[in-house]
Amino acid sequence: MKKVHIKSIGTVIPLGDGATGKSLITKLLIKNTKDLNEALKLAQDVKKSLNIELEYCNEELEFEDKTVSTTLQYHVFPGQQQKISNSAPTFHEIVEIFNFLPSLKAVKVILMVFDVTRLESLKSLESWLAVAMQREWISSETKIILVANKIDILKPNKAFIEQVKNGIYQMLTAENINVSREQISSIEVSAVLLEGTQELRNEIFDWVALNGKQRIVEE
Amino acid sequence: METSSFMSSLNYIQITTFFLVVLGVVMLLVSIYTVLKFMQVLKVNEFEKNQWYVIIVLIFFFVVGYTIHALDVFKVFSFPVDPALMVSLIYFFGAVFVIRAMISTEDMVKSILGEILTDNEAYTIFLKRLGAVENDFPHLKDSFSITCEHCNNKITYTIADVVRQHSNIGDKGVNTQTTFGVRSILLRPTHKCVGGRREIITVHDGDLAYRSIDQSRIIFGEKI
Repeated sequence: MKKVHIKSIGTVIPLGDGATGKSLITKLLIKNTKDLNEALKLAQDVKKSLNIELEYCNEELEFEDKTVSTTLQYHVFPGQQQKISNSAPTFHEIVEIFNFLPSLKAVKVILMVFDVTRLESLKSLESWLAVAMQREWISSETKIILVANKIDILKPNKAFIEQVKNGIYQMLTAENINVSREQISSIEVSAVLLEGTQELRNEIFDWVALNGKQRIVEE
Repeated sequence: METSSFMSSLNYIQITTFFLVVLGVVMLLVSIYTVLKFMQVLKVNEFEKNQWYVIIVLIFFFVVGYTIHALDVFKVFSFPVDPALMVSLIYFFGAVFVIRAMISTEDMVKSILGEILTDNEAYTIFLKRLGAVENDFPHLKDSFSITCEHCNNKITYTIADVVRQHSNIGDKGVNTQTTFGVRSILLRPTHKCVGGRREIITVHDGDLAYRSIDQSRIIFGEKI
Protein backbone atom coordinates (compact mmCIF):
# COMPACT_ATOMS: atom_id res chain seq x y z
CA MET A 1 0.00 0.00 0.00
CA LYS A 2 1.40 3.32 -1.01
CA LYS A 3 1.70 5.83 1.80
CA VAL A 4 0.17 9.27 1.64
CA HIS A 5 2.73 12.09 1.61
CA ILE A 6 1.71 15.03 3.70
CA LYS A 7 3.39 18.35 4.43
CA SER A 8 2.82 19.72 7.87
CA ILE A 9 3.97 23.01 9.28
CA GLY A 10 3.74 24.49 12.73
CA THR A 11 4.99 27.38 14.80
CA VAL A 12 7.01 26.76 17.91
CA ILE A 13 7.43 29.53 20.49
CA PRO A 14 9.80 29.16 23.41
CA LEU A 15 8.75 31.40 26.31
CA GLY A 16 10.51 32.17 29.55
CA ASP A 17 12.76 34.62 31.32
CA GLY A 18 16.11 35.73 29.97
CA ALA A 19 19.03 33.36 30.58
CA THR A 20 16.82 30.31 30.98
CA GLY A 21 18.22 28.74 27.80
CA LYS A 22 15.53 29.44 25.18
CA SER A 23 17.95 30.47 22.44
CA LEU A 24 20.41 27.65 23.10
CA ILE A 25 17.72 24.98 23.26
CA THR A 26 16.25 26.27 20.00
CA LYS A 27 19.64 26.15 18.28
CA LEU A 28 20.25 22.62 19.57
CA LEU A 29 16.85 21.47 18.36
CA ILE A 30 17.28 23.04 14.94
CA LYS A 31 20.79 21.73 14.39
CA ASN A 32 19.87 18.39 15.96
CA THR A 33 23.19 18.52 17.73
CA LYS A 34 24.43 15.28 19.24
CA ASP A 35 28.03 16.29 19.81
CA LEU A 36 28.85 17.77 23.22
CA ASN A 37 31.67 19.94 21.89
CA GLU A 38 29.38 21.44 19.29
CA ALA A 39 26.77 22.06 22.00
CA LEU A 40 29.38 23.78 24.12
CA LYS A 41 30.42 25.97 21.22
CA LEU A 42 26.78 26.87 20.57
CA ALA A 43 26.37 27.70 24.24
CA GLN A 44 29.39 30.01 24.09
CA ASP A 45 28.06 31.73 20.98
CA VAL A 46 24.59 32.39 22.35
CA LYS A 47 24.07 36.05 23.13
CA LYS A 48 21.29 37.93 24.81
CA SER A 49 18.44 38.21 22.29
CA LEU A 50 17.38 41.77 21.51
CA ASN A 51 15.00 40.96 18.68
CA ILE A 52 12.83 38.14 17.40
CA GLU A 53 14.81 35.20 16.03
CA LEU A 54 13.11 33.20 13.29
CA GLU A 55 14.52 29.78 12.53
CA TYR A 56 13.26 26.83 10.49
CA CYS A 57 13.96 23.14 10.37
CA ASN A 58 12.52 20.16 8.52
CA GLU A 59 12.28 16.47 9.06
CA GLU A 60 10.47 13.68 7.31
CA LEU A 61 8.57 11.45 9.68
CA GLU A 62 7.35 7.99 8.76
CA PHE A 63 4.04 6.78 10.14
CA GLU A 64 2.22 3.52 9.42
CA ASP A 65 -0.04 5.04 6.79
CA LYS A 66 1.72 8.25 5.85
CA THR A 67 4.93 10.14 5.41
CA VAL A 68 4.89 13.62 6.89
CA SER A 69 7.37 16.27 5.81
CA THR A 70 7.34 18.38 8.93
CA THR A 71 8.52 21.97 9.13
CA LEU A 72 8.97 23.76 12.39
CA GLN A 73 9.03 27.54 12.48
CA TYR A 74 10.72 28.71 15.65
CA HIS A 75 9.88 32.20 16.87
CA VAL A 76 12.23 33.12 19.69
CA PHE A 77 11.39 36.35 21.42
CA PRO A 78 13.64 38.26 23.82
CA GLY A 79 13.13 37.15 27.40
CA GLN A 80 12.98 40.53 29.09
CA GLN A 81 9.56 41.90 29.88
CA GLN A 82 10.96 45.02 31.56
CA LYS A 83 12.72 47.85 29.73
CA ILE A 84 16.44 47.76 30.53
CA SER A 85 17.68 50.32 27.98
CA ASN A 86 16.42 52.33 25.04
CA SER A 87 18.32 50.14 22.59
CA ALA A 88 16.94 46.87 23.96
CA PRO A 89 13.30 46.28 23.02
CA THR A 90 11.16 44.27 25.38
CA PHE A 91 9.24 41.12 24.57
CA HIS A 92 5.98 43.08 24.41
CA GLU A 93 7.39 45.67 22.00
CA ILE A 94 8.64 42.91 19.67
CA VAL A 95 5.33 41.04 19.85
CA GLU A 96 3.43 44.22 18.99
CA ILE A 97 5.57 44.66 15.87
CA PHE A 98 5.41 41.06 14.67
CA ASN A 99 1.94 40.12 15.80
CA PHE A 100 0.64 40.38 12.22
CA LEU A 101 2.63 37.29 11.21
CA PRO A 102 0.17 34.57 10.15
CA SER A 103 2.39 31.99 11.80
CA LEU A 104 1.53 33.53 15.16
CA LYS A 105 -2.16 32.88 14.58
CA ALA A 106 -1.76 29.12 14.82
CA VAL A 107 0.94 28.27 17.31
CA LYS A 108 1.41 24.51 17.57
CA VAL A 109 3.95 24.20 20.33
CA ILE A 110 4.76 26.47 23.25
CA LEU A 111 7.91 25.65 25.15
CA MET A 112 7.72 27.07 28.64
CA VAL A 113 11.37 27.15 29.58
CA PHE A 114 12.59 27.68 33.12
CA ASP A 115 15.86 27.35 34.95
CA VAL A 116 15.60 24.71 37.68
CA THR A 117 18.16 26.59 39.77
CA ARG A 118 15.96 29.70 39.83
CA LEU A 119 12.47 29.17 41.17
CA GLU A 120 11.72 32.75 40.13
CA SER A 121 12.02 31.73 36.47
CA LEU A 122 9.26 29.15 37.01
CA LYS A 123 7.12 31.74 38.78
CA SER A 124 7.60 34.08 35.79
CA LEU A 125 6.08 31.45 33.51
CA GLU A 126 2.72 32.46 34.97
CA SER A 127 3.03 35.83 33.30
CA TRP A 128 4.42 34.26 30.11
CA LEU A 129 1.45 31.92 29.96
CA ALA A 130 -0.88 34.86 30.56
CA VAL A 131 0.70 36.62 27.58
CA ALA A 132 0.23 33.52 25.41
CA MET A 133 -3.43 33.34 26.46
CA GLN A 134 -3.96 37.03 25.87
CA ARG A 135 -2.43 36.76 22.38
CA GLU A 136 -4.65 33.72 21.69
CA TRP A 137 -1.66 31.56 20.86
CA ILE A 138 -3.12 28.57 22.70
CA SER A 139 -5.84 26.39 21.21
CA SER A 140 -6.93 22.78 21.25
CA GLU A 141 -4.10 22.12 18.77
CA THR A 142 -1.33 23.62 20.86
CA LYS A 143 1.09 21.46 22.77
CA ILE A 144 2.48 23.08 25.90
CA ILE A 145 5.79 21.64 27.04
CA LEU A 146 7.22 22.66 30.37
CA VAL A 147 10.98 22.53 29.83
CA ALA A 148 13.01 22.22 33.03
CA ASN A 149 16.47 23.32 31.90
CA LYS A 150 19.87 23.04 33.64
CA ILE A 151 19.23 19.67 35.23
CA ASP A 152 22.98 19.10 35.15
CA ILE A 153 23.11 21.51 38.11
CA LEU A 154 19.99 20.45 39.95
CA LYS A 155 17.42 17.69 39.53
CA PRO A 156 13.88 19.04 39.71
CA ASN A 157 11.31 17.49 41.99
CA LYS A 158 9.05 15.36 39.79
CA ALA A 159 5.99 15.63 42.05
CA PHE A 160 6.32 19.41 41.98
CA ILE A 161 6.55 19.44 38.18
CA GLU A 162 3.37 17.34 38.01
CA GLN A 163 1.61 19.81 40.31
CA VAL A 164 2.77 22.71 38.13
CA LYS A 165 1.42 20.98 35.00
CA ASN A 166 -1.93 20.56 36.72
CA GLY A 167 -1.75 24.24 37.69
CA ILE A 168 -1.13 25.21 34.06
CA TYR A 169 -4.09 23.11 32.96
CA GLN A 170 -6.34 24.71 35.56
CA MET A 171 -5.15 28.20 34.58
CA LEU A 172 -6.03 27.51 30.94
CA THR A 173 -9.40 25.90 31.60
CA ALA A 174 -10.30 28.72 34.01
CA GLU A 175 -10.00 31.03 30.98
CA ASN A 176 -12.22 28.69 28.95
CA ILE A 177 -9.40 27.64 26.67
CA ASN A 178 -10.24 24.27 25.22
CA VAL A 179 -7.23 22.11 26.01
CA SER A 180 -6.90 18.58 27.29
CA ARG A 181 -4.60 17.57 30.13
CA GLU A 182 -2.57 15.47 27.65
CA GLN A 183 -1.62 18.63 25.75
CA ILE A 184 0.50 19.69 28.67
CA SER A 185 3.70 17.74 29.13
CA SER A 186 7.07 18.30 30.70
CA ILE A 187 10.63 17.37 29.94
CA GLU A 188 13.87 17.69 31.85
CA VAL A 189 16.73 19.10 29.83
CA SER A 190 20.37 19.96 30.18
CA ALA A 191 21.24 22.06 27.16
CA VAL A 192 24.98 21.85 27.84
CA LEU A 193 25.02 18.07 28.32
CA LEU A 194 22.38 17.43 25.64
CA GLU A 195 20.25 15.51 28.12
CA GLY A 196 16.62 15.41 27.10
CA THR A 197 17.10 17.50 23.96
CA GLN A 198 16.52 14.59 21.59
CA GLU A 199 13.32 13.60 23.40
CA LEU A 200 12.17 17.21 23.28
CA ARG A 201 12.92 17.42 19.56
CA ASN A 202 11.01 14.19 18.86
CA GLU A 203 8.03 15.32 20.91
CA ILE A 204 7.82 18.62 19.05
CA PHE A 205 8.17 17.00 15.61
CA ASP A 206 5.63 14.27 16.42
CA TRP A 207 3.09 16.82 17.58
CA VAL A 208 3.51 19.15 14.60
CA ALA A 209 3.52 16.21 12.17
CA LEU A 210 0.10 15.12 13.43
CA ASN A 211 -1.40 18.46 14.46
CA GLY A 212 0.27 21.04 12.21
CA LYS A 213 -1.22 22.88 9.29
CA GLN A 214 -1.35 20.08 6.73
CA ARG A 215 -1.47 19.72 2.98
CA ILE A 216 -1.51 16.46 1.02
CA VAL A 217 1.33 16.41 -1.49
CA GLU A 218 0.58 13.07 -3.18
CA GLU A 219 -1.50 9.98 -2.59
CA MET B 1 43.48 87.52 88.83
CA GLU B 2 41.63 85.26 91.23
CA THR B 3 41.64 82.46 88.66
CA SER B 4 45.38 82.65 88.09
CA SER B 5 46.06 82.68 91.81
CA PHE B 6 43.74 79.67 92.18
CA MET B 7 45.62 77.84 89.41
CA SER B 8 48.99 78.71 90.88
CA SER B 9 47.86 77.33 94.23
CA LEU B 10 47.20 73.85 92.72
CA ASN B 11 49.76 71.13 93.19
CA TYR B 12 50.75 68.65 90.46
CA ILE B 13 48.28 66.01 91.73
CA GLN B 14 45.38 68.43 91.40
CA ILE B 15 46.48 69.55 87.95
CA THR B 16 46.85 65.94 86.78
CA THR B 17 43.44 65.14 88.29
CA PHE B 18 41.92 68.10 86.47
CA PHE B 19 43.16 66.99 83.06
CA LEU B 20 42.33 63.33 83.64
CA VAL B 21 38.80 64.11 84.84
CA VAL B 22 38.11 66.53 81.98
CA LEU B 23 39.44 63.99 79.48
CA GLY B 24 37.43 61.20 81.12
CA VAL B 25 34.20 63.24 81.10
CA VAL B 26 34.69 64.13 77.43
CA MET B 27 35.19 60.46 76.58
CA LEU B 28 32.11 59.46 78.56
CA LEU B 29 30.00 62.08 76.76
CA VAL B 30 31.30 60.76 73.44
CA SER B 31 30.37 57.25 74.65
CA ILE B 32 26.77 58.35 75.38
CA TYR B 33 26.55 59.81 71.89
CA THR B 34 27.98 56.59 70.43
CA VAL B 35 25.48 54.40 72.30
CA LEU B 36 22.59 56.63 71.16
CA LYS B 37 23.74 56.29 67.54
CA PHE B 38 24.18 52.56 68.03
CA MET B 39 20.63 52.29 69.39
CA GLN B 40 19.28 53.82 66.20
CA VAL B 41 20.88 50.90 64.31
CA LEU B 42 19.37 48.44 66.79
CA LYS B 43 15.96 50.02 66.22
CA VAL B 44 16.22 49.50 62.47
CA ASN B 45 17.27 45.87 62.91
CA GLU B 46 14.68 44.92 65.52
CA PHE B 47 17.18 44.23 68.32
CA GLU B 48 16.15 44.59 71.93
CA LYS B 49 17.49 48.01 72.92
CA ASN B 50 16.12 48.67 76.43
CA GLN B 51 19.19 47.20 78.10
CA TRP B 52 21.35 49.77 76.36
CA TYR B 53 19.44 52.54 78.19
CA VAL B 54 20.89 51.08 81.41
CA ILE B 55 24.36 51.50 79.92
CA ILE B 56 23.62 55.18 79.18
CA VAL B 57 22.37 55.74 82.74
CA LEU B 58 25.53 54.12 84.12
CA ILE B 59 27.75 56.26 81.90
CA PHE B 60 25.85 59.30 83.09
CA PHE B 61 26.51 58.29 86.72
CA PHE B 62 30.19 58.12 85.90
CA VAL B 63 30.09 61.65 84.48
CA VAL B 64 28.45 62.87 87.71
CA GLY B 65 30.89 60.87 89.85
CA TYR B 66 33.94 62.20 87.98
CA THR B 67 32.69 65.76 88.29
CA ILE B 68 31.99 65.47 92.02
CA HIS B 69 35.38 63.88 92.52
CA ALA B 70 37.09 66.73 90.66
CA LEU B 71 35.23 69.37 92.65
CA ASP B 72 36.22 67.53 95.80
CA VAL B 73 39.88 67.52 94.78
CA PHE B 74 39.73 71.27 94.13
CA LYS B 75 37.98 71.80 97.46
CA VAL B 76 35.14 73.59 95.64
CA PHE B 77 32.62 71.15 96.98
CA SER B 78 33.09 68.62 99.69
CA PHE B 79 31.21 65.40 99.05
CA PRO B 80 29.93 64.02 102.36
CA VAL B 81 31.52 60.65 101.73
CA ASP B 82 34.89 59.37 102.82
CA PRO B 83 37.35 59.53 99.82
CA ALA B 84 38.22 55.85 100.27
CA LEU B 85 34.52 54.93 100.12
CA MET B 86 34.14 57.16 97.05
CA VAL B 87 36.89 55.25 95.24
CA SER B 88 35.25 51.97 96.25
CA LEU B 89 31.90 53.21 94.92
CA ILE B 90 33.49 54.12 91.59
CA TYR B 91 35.16 50.70 91.46
CA PHE B 92 31.86 49.01 92.27
CA PHE B 93 29.84 50.87 89.67
CA GLY B 94 32.70 50.31 87.22
CA ALA B 95 32.20 46.58 87.77
CA VAL B 96 28.39 46.97 87.42
CA PHE B 97 28.98 48.83 84.18
CA VAL B 98 31.33 46.19 82.81
CA ILE B 99 29.01 43.28 83.65
CA ARG B 100 25.99 45.11 82.21
CA ALA B 101 27.91 45.89 79.02
CA MET B 102 29.07 42.28 78.75
CA ILE B 103 25.54 40.90 79.27
CA SER B 104 24.11 43.30 76.70
CA THR B 105 26.82 42.38 74.21
CA GLU B 106 26.31 38.67 74.86
CA ASP B 107 22.55 39.04 74.35
CA MET B 108 23.08 40.90 71.12
CA VAL B 109 25.60 38.40 69.78
CA LYS B 110 23.29 35.53 70.73
CA SER B 111 20.47 37.35 69.05
CA ILE B 112 22.54 37.81 65.88
CA LEU B 113 23.52 34.15 65.95
CA GLY B 114 19.96 33.20 66.80
CA GLU B 115 20.62 31.41 70.07
CA ILE B 116 17.98 33.13 72.16
CA LEU B 117 14.86 31.36 70.95
CA THR B 118 13.93 27.86 72.10
CA ASP B 119 12.69 25.39 69.50
CA ASN B 120 9.07 25.86 70.59
CA GLU B 121 9.34 29.65 70.48
CA ALA B 122 10.89 29.42 67.01
CA TYR B 123 8.13 27.12 65.72
CA THR B 124 5.50 29.49 67.15
CA ILE B 125 7.10 32.42 65.34
CA PHE B 126 7.22 30.39 62.12
CA LEU B 127 3.54 29.42 62.35
CA LYS B 128 2.57 32.99 63.16
CA ARG B 129 4.56 34.24 60.19
CA LEU B 130 2.63 31.92 57.84
CA GLY B 131 -0.69 32.36 59.62
CA ALA B 132 -0.89 28.60 60.12
CA VAL B 133 -1.24 26.01 62.86
CA GLU B 134 1.02 23.08 63.64
CA ASN B 135 -1.30 20.52 62.04
CA ASP B 136 -0.98 22.30 58.69
CA PHE B 137 2.56 21.00 58.28
CA PRO B 138 3.28 17.27 58.64
CA HIS B 139 7.02 17.97 58.26
CA LEU B 140 7.20 20.97 60.61
CA LYS B 141 9.65 19.41 63.04
CA ASP B 142 11.70 17.40 60.55
CA SER B 143 15.41 17.85 60.12
CA PHE B 144 16.59 18.53 56.56
CA SER B 145 19.96 18.04 54.89
CA ILE B 146 21.45 19.78 51.89
CA THR B 147 24.95 20.05 50.46
CA CYS B 148 26.48 23.44 49.78
CA GLU B 149 27.93 23.53 46.28
CA HIS B 150 30.53 26.10 47.36
CA CYS B 151 32.09 24.37 50.38
CA ASN B 152 30.71 20.87 49.70
CA ASN B 153 29.71 20.58 53.34
CA LYS B 154 26.53 18.85 54.43
CA ILE B 155 24.21 21.33 56.12
CA THR B 156 21.51 20.05 58.42
CA TYR B 157 18.77 22.41 59.52
CA THR B 158 15.34 22.54 61.06
CA ILE B 159 12.65 25.19 60.72
CA ALA B 160 13.55 26.35 64.23
CA ASP B 161 17.19 26.80 63.16
CA VAL B 162 16.15 28.98 60.23
CA VAL B 163 13.91 31.17 62.41
CA ARG B 164 16.69 31.56 64.98
CA GLN B 165 19.23 32.43 62.31
CA HIS B 166 16.96 35.22 61.08
CA SER B 167 15.39 36.19 64.40
CA ASN B 168 16.21 39.86 63.86
CA ILE B 169 14.83 40.06 60.33
CA GLY B 170 11.18 40.77 59.65
CA ASP B 171 10.60 37.73 57.42
CA LYS B 172 12.40 35.35 59.86
CA GLY B 173 14.07 33.63 56.91
CA VAL B 174 10.72 32.31 55.66
CA ASN B 175 8.80 33.24 52.52
CA THR B 176 6.10 31.65 50.45
CA GLN B 177 5.61 31.59 46.72
CA THR B 178 2.67 30.30 44.75
CA THR B 179 3.38 29.15 41.22
CA PHE B 180 0.45 27.99 39.07
CA GLY B 181 -1.52 27.48 42.26
CA VAL B 182 1.22 25.32 43.82
CA ARG B 183 2.46 26.70 47.10
CA SER B 184 6.17 26.62 47.90
CA ILE B 185 7.72 27.63 51.18
CA LEU B 186 11.17 29.15 50.83
CA LEU B 187 13.55 28.86 53.78
CA ARG B 188 17.01 30.40 54.07
CA PRO B 189 19.26 28.31 56.32
CA THR B 190 22.73 29.78 56.82
CA HIS B 191 26.10 28.14 57.38
CA LYS B 192 29.77 29.02 57.63
CA CYS B 193 31.10 28.74 54.08
CA VAL B 194 34.12 29.69 52.03
CA GLY B 195 34.36 33.48 52.13
CA GLY B 196 31.93 34.04 54.97
CA ARG B 197 28.45 33.12 56.14
CA ARG B 198 26.23 31.92 53.31
CA GLU B 199 22.48 31.51 53.09
CA ILE B 200 20.95 29.01 50.69
CA ILE B 201 17.35 29.33 49.57
CA THR B 202 15.70 25.95 50.01
CA VAL B 203 12.34 25.18 48.50
CA HIS B 204 9.81 23.15 50.49
CA ASP B 205 6.35 22.09 49.44
CA GLY B 206 3.11 23.05 51.15
CA ASP B 207 3.62 20.26 53.73
CA LEU B 208 7.15 21.53 54.37
CA ALA B 209 8.74 18.47 52.77
CA TYR B 210 12.06 19.39 51.17
CA ARG B 211 11.83 19.91 47.43
CA SER B 212 15.03 21.50 46.10
CA ILE B 213 17.62 24.18 46.64
CA ASP B 214 17.63 27.49 44.85
CA GLN B 215 20.20 30.27 44.75
CA SER B 216 22.63 31.13 47.54
CA ARG B 217 24.57 34.20 48.62
CA ILE B 218 27.15 35.35 51.14
CA ILE B 219 25.42 37.41 53.82
CA PHE B 220 28.41 38.24 56.07
CA GLY B 221 31.98 38.64 54.94
CA GLU B 222 34.88 36.55 56.12
CA LYS B 223 35.79 38.84 59.00
CA ILE B 224 32.40 38.64 60.74
